Amino acid sequence: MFSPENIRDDFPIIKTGELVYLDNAATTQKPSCVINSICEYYEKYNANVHRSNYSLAEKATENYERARKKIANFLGVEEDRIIFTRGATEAINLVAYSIFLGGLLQPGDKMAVTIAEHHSNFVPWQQLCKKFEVEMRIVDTTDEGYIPIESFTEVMDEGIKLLAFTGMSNSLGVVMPYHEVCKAAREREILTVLDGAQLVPHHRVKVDEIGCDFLAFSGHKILGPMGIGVLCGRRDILEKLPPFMYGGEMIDKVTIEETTFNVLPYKFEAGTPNVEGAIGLAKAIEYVENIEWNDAVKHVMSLTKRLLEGLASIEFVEIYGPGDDRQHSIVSFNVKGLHPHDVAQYLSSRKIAVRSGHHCAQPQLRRLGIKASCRASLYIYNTKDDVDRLLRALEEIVTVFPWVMRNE
Amino acid sequence: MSNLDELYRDMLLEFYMDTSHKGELKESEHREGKNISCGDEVTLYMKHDGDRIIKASFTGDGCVVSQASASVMAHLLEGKTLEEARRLILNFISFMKGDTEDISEELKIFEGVKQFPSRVKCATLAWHTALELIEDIMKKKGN
Repeated sequence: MFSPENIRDDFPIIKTGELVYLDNAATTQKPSCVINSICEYYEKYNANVHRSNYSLAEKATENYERARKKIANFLGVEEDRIIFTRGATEAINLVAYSIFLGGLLQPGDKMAVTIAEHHSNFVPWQQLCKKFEVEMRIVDTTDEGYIPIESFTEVMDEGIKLLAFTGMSNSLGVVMPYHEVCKAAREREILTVLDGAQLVPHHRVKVDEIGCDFLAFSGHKILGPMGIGVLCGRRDILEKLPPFMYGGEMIDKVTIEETTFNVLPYKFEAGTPNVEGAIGLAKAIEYVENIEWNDAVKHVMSLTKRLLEGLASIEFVEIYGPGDDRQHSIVSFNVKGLHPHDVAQYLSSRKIAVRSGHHCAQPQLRRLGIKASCRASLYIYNTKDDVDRLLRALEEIVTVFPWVMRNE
Repeated sequence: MSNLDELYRDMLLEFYMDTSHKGELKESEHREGKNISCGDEVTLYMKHDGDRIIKASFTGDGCVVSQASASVMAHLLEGKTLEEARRLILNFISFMKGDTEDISEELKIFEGVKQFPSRVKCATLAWHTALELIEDIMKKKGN
């Protein structure tokens, strides 16, 4: 039976109990097994991969490729469709640049993103669309930050060729109907790029069941190290696309006149890769797979509900998002009359870590009519006590900022 | 005093609550400043006679630290010559960076902010904006 109490000891920063860590949408804490796997790599088999045939290099290569296989299994795909990147941001930039450079989007074409995107799935498309004279359409959210399937299909029927969208918004934690969206897009032969940065850590994502053409996510939001992420793509499209970066490893044959490129996935992995990161991420996935996942998800859902209900009962707190089970693990809120920075600073003095600011999602916040918010985000090791400590601290914020009550 | 009390000293809260320098200033020069990391924006207005700052004010939303800082700055700049204002601003920015301890009494209320490196930008946002505006005015005057 899953219980957060049973896993807290696996996380050195959580184990100390000194901090209520509620900034998991920014990055999760790492279990010891992930940290140790990185040390072990450097202590026992550090060598450059895919280049040499001495035994140390063979071992490094073997472990690097085993990591790819582990992640491929986790997503339910073959390993040559797993491209290691620096994170979700690089994964999205990679696919966006390759699509534009490969002519899959041409001047006069249309594509769409949603207003709920993290800047990493918004700015690359916006900038490339400007450069290549492609029209970028916007799928709007409701006032609560949700996007019903009809809003997606409406924009799809405006003749777009590609849709880039998040499965779960990072500012509000709203889970979008991504299965239906990908199905509707495929029926219309529209390419889909699914930003899974928040989705993958919380939902069991099987790429081909969802039917997205590309999925991007970061390792560090699912207990893995920073600086490693994944782009998973449809093989037939990946094979057609030109590389995003050139250099070592990604070539087949180089002459003065011409270069031919390596096969998948190496065509997209120029230079020495982040071997420690891949190994650490595979370890994190293994950790996640060994947890009773359905129970862990239910646990995070029940904490989200507790947090939403608790915040709703504090009269001077304003909550954003639908507030029902479409909202998962992330809750954005403001204390009326107080800037989120001051709220977060006060919470920090109470040993509670939350994010404050625009969460790299300015279009979404502007859509809600706010500039910034506080964001508490939960993960599997958080407890009811963590949530209650946050709620209690917020109730007592008037002792520091007395005008909060007057600002009704 | 706890760290938090040091950050939000009473005087600082008083300057935050004091809205006498808040609002647009007609027939004045203005400049916008932005804190990229948090999205806070401030617009600074200044009325001058070519030598002295006659009135200063600001608009914008921000945290207690950034608003209090803009408020006290607007208050201090009024009546100063452009050069005096420039020196005061540079002095405050060095103080916040930890490069000098030599600072006027009323600005010591920001001492507590220094132990929160991410908040130093909040305290200096209005000051950096004012510096740009003043240097602009001085440059135009020089031409």
